[in-house]
Amino acid sequence: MITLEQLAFSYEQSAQSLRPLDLSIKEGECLVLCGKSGCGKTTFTRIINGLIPELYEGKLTGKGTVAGVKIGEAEIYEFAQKVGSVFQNPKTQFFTTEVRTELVFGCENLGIEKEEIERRLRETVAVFPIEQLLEKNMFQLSGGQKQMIAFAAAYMQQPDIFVLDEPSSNLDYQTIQLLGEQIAKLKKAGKTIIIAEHRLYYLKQLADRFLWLEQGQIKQLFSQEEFACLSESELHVKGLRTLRLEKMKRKQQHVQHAKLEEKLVIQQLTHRYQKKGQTVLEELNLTLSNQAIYGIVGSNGVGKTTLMQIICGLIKPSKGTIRLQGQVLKQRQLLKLSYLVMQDVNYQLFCETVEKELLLKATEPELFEEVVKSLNLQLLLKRHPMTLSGGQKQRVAVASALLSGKKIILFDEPTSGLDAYHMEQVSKLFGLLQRKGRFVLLVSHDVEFLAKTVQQIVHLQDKKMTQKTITEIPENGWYTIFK
Amino acid sequence: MTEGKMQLDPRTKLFLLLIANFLLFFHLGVRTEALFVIFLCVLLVLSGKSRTGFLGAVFYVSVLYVSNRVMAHNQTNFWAILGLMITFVEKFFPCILAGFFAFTTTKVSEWIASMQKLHFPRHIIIPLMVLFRFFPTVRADYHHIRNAMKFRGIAVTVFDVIKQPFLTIEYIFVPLLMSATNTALDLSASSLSRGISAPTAHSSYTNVEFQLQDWLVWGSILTIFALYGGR
Repeated sequence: MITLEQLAFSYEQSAQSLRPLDLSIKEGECLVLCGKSGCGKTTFTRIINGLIPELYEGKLTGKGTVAGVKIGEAEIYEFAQKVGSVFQNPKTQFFTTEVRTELVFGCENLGIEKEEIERRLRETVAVFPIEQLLEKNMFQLSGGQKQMIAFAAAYMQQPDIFVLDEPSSNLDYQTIQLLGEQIAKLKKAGKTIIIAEHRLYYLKQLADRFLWLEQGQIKQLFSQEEFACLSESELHVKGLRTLRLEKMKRKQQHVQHAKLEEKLVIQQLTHRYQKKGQTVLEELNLTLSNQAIYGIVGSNGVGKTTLMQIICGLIKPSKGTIRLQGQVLKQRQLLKLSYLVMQDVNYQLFCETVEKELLLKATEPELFEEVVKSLNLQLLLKRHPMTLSGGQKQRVAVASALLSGKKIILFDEPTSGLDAYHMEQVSKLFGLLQRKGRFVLLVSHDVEFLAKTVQQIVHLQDKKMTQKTITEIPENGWYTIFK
Repeated sequence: MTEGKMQLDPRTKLFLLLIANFLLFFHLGVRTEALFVIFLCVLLVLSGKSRTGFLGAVFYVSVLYVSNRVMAHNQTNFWAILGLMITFVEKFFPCILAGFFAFTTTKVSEWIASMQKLHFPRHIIIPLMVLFRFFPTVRADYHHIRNAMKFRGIAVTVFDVIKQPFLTIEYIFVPLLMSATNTALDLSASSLSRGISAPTAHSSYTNVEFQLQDWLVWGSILTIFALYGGR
């Protein structure tokens, strides 16, 4: 189905590259590409779906064919007839504004007759759980639903090959299960599937082979059985994430506490959406301490974001109070005391150098040296924030929060799309914040990350909330909190 | 489908919008304008926008009434200015109503399909599709950035914005442009991998066709013009 001979690629604008590689992929095979960020997984997928070298420019050498289409010579639309693609970011991979037109968009472009489109639409609805979404607007859907539509839209083109680039990075536990089921169906139908992924646990039964890449080179090719035999520590050395979520061990945590314990007490918090009159949070009581790291979990639409926005002072709750050390905090005071590190950090970097960014509105500039050193930003101070990697940007955001004297630091999905190594770096970052006596709260779907990082779980469900310390969660029952 | 609601072809709606503009630039008399506005209101009601239809009609009739009363007054400065303002509202109202009708009752896919039917070139249709896609994205980005600015302590209140308008704009634009660049690249990847650049004829799934009601609308408008136009 796919053959690559001495195929290599280097980007025009970045140092990343793929070294010459030989590989052949059989029809009906499911291949998983794994490795650290920047190892060449995404580059590999872009070669298979023809976006390299037309959209992403650079130097392509060697030979290869994808379902008979010649790599480097054929136009992208020739690939479009053979390869269906699903990308990482659900927000930016739909092109039209309505679900139905989004699904038929690819078929229209390829000039397929209306009757045939109708037939495919019926078939697609039978395979993917999307029937109740058909008449909706794309902007109303959740990230998981958008991702499912993207997958279904690729299916509408009836390609022989599917290429998925980190499809799970923005999805919650249940949607990842659903994604796995869809992949299994395609495999059964004899499709060839190539998946670049950090999260591996949901693929261990699905993939025929695992290709481990490092710095643009094939390090090793594993069969399903061989890969399943790798121990957790072997995976860790390779910079890969866990294969066994069900046996996820809580890391023994040696926490260095801040000297002074402080308490943030939320009482009788109720919030109703003004427009729809719908209650999201009802009579919530929660005591937070700066001695622990809190993970806020719960399925989509349950009010996690609303809770964070209330704590940040971005919205005023319908009812309830928030007290710090007994003092009631008004919305404006909360806004002054808190900082939210957004899922997309790009929204919160404003200056032309990292140094200026850190000192913008800093209320405690005397801490500059110390913060820069502890977050490892010394070499980045003269760089433009936008030229940094995702993890570096995150650190700059955290540093600016510390320098502006923020007491409460919230994180929204800090590890979406991160590999094992960077995930641990983020985990360490929280330890630092804790030592500095800050309140740390994070919203996350990432089970592996939560198990390694937090001490307290705040579980939102049906307007209510339950709080557990992680020792209360059974050793092998981590994922049950997501059900 | 939308049960019991009248569906007009987007081309008919475009025609109505053109007529409304025509009325703005060429004075064809109050009678023609009033008939056109009432006709639009009826169409709105039939298309399931009853509230806007009724309110529109009531508003327009009251404006006409007030305008008549004001014009009857002796022309002191105050009455002249008031008269001018009311006439302004009266003249623009058909355009606003026709625009509202066209854009709230038509899906993006229907616009695209009718443009294809009118044989607009691809290099006009595709940028328009991107535009429709981009507006809501930029709006969402803008809200995220404003939030980020708030807890960063930049331009929190309206007063801050007025005090330092250029700085505020700069702080909004830098992240907004960055985000827009990323969005553009991702959208290109998504559309190219689904064959948007295929040179063969593209087919269309959304149906737009002239039906009886379209012919009736065209007929009625032309009749109004034939009977009262120019008087």
